[in-house]
Amino acid sequence: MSSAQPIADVDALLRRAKLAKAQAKDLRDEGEFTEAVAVLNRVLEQLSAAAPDPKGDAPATPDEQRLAMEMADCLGMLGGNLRRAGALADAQDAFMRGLQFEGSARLQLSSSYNLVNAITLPLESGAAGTGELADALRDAIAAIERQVAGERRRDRWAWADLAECRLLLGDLDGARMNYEQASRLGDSETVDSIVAVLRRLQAALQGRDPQAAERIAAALSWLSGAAGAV
Amino acid sequence: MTEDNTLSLLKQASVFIRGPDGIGSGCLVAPQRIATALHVVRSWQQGRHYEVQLGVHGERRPCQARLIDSDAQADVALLAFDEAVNATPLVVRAAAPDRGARWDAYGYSALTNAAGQEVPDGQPLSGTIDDPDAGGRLLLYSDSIGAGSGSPLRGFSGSPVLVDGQLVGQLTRIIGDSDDASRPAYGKVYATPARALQALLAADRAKTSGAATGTRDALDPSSLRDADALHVLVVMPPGASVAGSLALDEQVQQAWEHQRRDITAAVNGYRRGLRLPPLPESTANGGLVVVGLRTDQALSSKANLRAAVRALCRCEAALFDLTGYDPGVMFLLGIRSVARRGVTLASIGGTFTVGNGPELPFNLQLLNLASHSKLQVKLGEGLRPHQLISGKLVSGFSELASLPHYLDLPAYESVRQLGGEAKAYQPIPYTSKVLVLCPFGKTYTETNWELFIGLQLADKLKEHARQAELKERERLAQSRDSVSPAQPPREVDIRVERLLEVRTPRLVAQSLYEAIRLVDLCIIDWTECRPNVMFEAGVRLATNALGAVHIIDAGAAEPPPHVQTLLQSLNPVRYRCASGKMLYDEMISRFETSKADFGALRYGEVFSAVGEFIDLPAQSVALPLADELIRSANLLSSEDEESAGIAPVLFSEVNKQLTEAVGHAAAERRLAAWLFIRYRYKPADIAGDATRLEQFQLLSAQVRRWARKGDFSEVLEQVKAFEAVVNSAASKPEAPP
Repeated sequence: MSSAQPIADVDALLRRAKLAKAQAKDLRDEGEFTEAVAVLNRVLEQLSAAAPDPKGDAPATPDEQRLAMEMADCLGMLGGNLRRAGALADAQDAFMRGLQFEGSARLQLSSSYNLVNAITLPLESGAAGTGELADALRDAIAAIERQVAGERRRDRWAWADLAECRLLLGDLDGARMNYEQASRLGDSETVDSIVAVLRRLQAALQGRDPQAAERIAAALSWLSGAAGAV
Repeated sequence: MTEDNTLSLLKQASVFIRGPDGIGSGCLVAPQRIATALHVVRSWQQGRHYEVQLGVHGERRPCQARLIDSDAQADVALLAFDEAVNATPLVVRAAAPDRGARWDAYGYSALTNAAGQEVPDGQPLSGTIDDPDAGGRLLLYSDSIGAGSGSPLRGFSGSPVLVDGQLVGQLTRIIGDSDDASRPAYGKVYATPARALQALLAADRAKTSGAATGTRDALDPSSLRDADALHVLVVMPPGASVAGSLALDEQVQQAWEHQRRDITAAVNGYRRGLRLPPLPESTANGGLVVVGLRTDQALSSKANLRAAVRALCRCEAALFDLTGYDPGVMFLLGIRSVARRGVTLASIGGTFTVGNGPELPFNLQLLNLASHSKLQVKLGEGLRPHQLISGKLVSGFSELASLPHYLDLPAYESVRQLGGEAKAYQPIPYTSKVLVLCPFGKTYTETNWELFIGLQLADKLKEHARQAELKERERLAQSRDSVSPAQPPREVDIRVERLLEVRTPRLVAQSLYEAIRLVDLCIIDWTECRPNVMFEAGVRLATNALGAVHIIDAGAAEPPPHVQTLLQSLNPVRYRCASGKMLYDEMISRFETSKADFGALRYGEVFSAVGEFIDLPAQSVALPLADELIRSANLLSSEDEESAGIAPVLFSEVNKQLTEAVGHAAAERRLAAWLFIRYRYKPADIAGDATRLEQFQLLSAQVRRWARKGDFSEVLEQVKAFEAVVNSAASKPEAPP
């Protein structure tokens, strides 16, 4: 990974990334996941050439942080589309790549999408159970709690991620409170998105971990109430 | 500038020099600085003082001058003295005058008195520029010299040569007559151009105040012409900087050197929105042009004020030194606040540190001040003056790019956003309201206002209105019989208001600036030169073609010299409270003259200059409609919102209906922007403009998602179909020319 590009290139890159994300969302909504993946891969190739090094001690410059945030976001979207397309191994790879940026102490990004998906995709794929992932979920909760105590206080996805981790660990009250916060901070689409994630997890865990599936069912019930209240 | 004014200016700044090299002339070119020809002072010894005489006749003032710098090739010398003098320095203009332009000079020959002493004999000279570049010198022609009967020009060396009230050169040598070399032949005489002197002055300023030598002169139009640079105007009071202050222009340079990358990114974000070329990565000028404007120079002539207005309009960033609230600085700040929406910074030096400052004039209390004091430096990393300036430049340009109503000064919006109905922006006649911009201090209020202006002016104006109506009735009666002259005139209710009396529940600042623009009769009282009044004066002169009726209490303290120079051209009515000579009739007469001038297409000079020089791309009207719609949409609901997870909507946590409504409003603005582009441009036009194509493609993706979710299938199909056409046009290779 190279150091940051001159400023004019960074701005142009970020605009290209923004456009690619909008196009990928549109394609995803249309159900054209493969095309969405292609769009994201194209822009990720360009972003990668300028991406900052997640390791090291030197404080990240604002440009490096902007680029890293865009990389993490695009990789998260890539993982999401690959998962929808059924390419779970590639999806896991994308989330792990995104996590390199998201979890970098140097880059100090405030995001948890790749982190939570990297943990929960093995649940969906059947590669791991909730017991094996407990430590990772606890670490994730600690990380997201730090984020919502700061600049992600009003971030609906942060609260939804926190709720999901708590739910999988069996903290129903905590999860309920956090889902409530996420639905208040978001709109009806936020609730729809959370519900879709939980339904996938519920389907995956139904036979393997009935208790977890039951907790998810409870959460879906609260969320249908939250959606109705909107 | 009239001949009388020019001569007055020359006389008061003229200098008679007598020393080992004989007699010569010079002129005041900066506070405590005299320029002359080097050969006049060639034998002056380093560090030794010589007596010179500043001014003429009764106002002549002896000063002990010393030689501080010179340019032998140009034959120019710069002298310094320490005495305080009440004279206005001449404004130095480096640009060459036009061939044929009239020049005026004032120099000294010497007469011998009864005691055998040489006494100075000042004489004016004038003529036309024969050649502005005669081998690097100015060649001047004068009929009076050419007549052949004139005195030898001994002693005229170093005399200031003015064109349009500005110093363009100094007399250095004559073309000698073959019979008498001390007499000029053919009426021709040489002057050395002022650019050499300007370099000496710049070096001197750098030595004495630490000012950056790279700072350009705002009054020189060529200073503003670098399209590939950020122009930062630094407006400074006259004289040496206040003790404890750093040179502001140097702080700007340092801010650039330390934060060039971030400032460039912010400026380019702003420029991109206006479709202006970005600042390049590296340029000969370094990407930054610091343009200096000293108020004594800016206010010294109408031409200079006009040049100053050009700089105020054209510079993308401006930094005002508010130390001591110099009236000239406040006046120019008022003009800037009308002329350009940001980025304008204000800084105070002396003993000021951010957060521990003096109370600002009430109309500027919301200003976000920086500091350029040495004490501020001691506050450490992140708080040093150049860091405050760079931080404000970065945030200023970033916010200016994204916020349609960005303001860092009052007035800009208030004088433009007046309302949609004609009543809201019609002029307010004097028979309805008169606005007086004046001090609010106790003494002024109790005497000037309560006993005179506030008490009597309305009645005088009512009488004037009554007489005017009677005259009009008589005229009508003579032309047709519809109106009886015997019918009593209508009673008018004229409100003469200061800011405190403006009748509205709206915010004081907003209603004040609106009134400043709209009232026909605005009286500006220059008594005490209060900072708030000076700022408002700038706003008024910049916004109303009628200008203002300027008044000043002749019994009060004199304004500083540079303001007096400005007042010479504004010609205020000099009233006297002490003797009750209020000269109301003169005030009303001036107002009537301004209306007559308007009818004759003679508009206020500051108003005309602002209108002429206003930077069109910086005006909100220049923002393309699609950009405006997109920006409006993004302010409601950002395109980053889905990724960032945060809504900008206030109360989104507790009011879902509001959140949804905001989302719809943003989506509809994006649809409107898409439709505008769709029907405003041809596919090839969209495809051929990289910025527009990117904008169109982003909108297309956003609108498709919205249409799909809302089940607007027709819109969805239309977007898809037209985007395919545009993409096809974009993928075609360009046809050869």
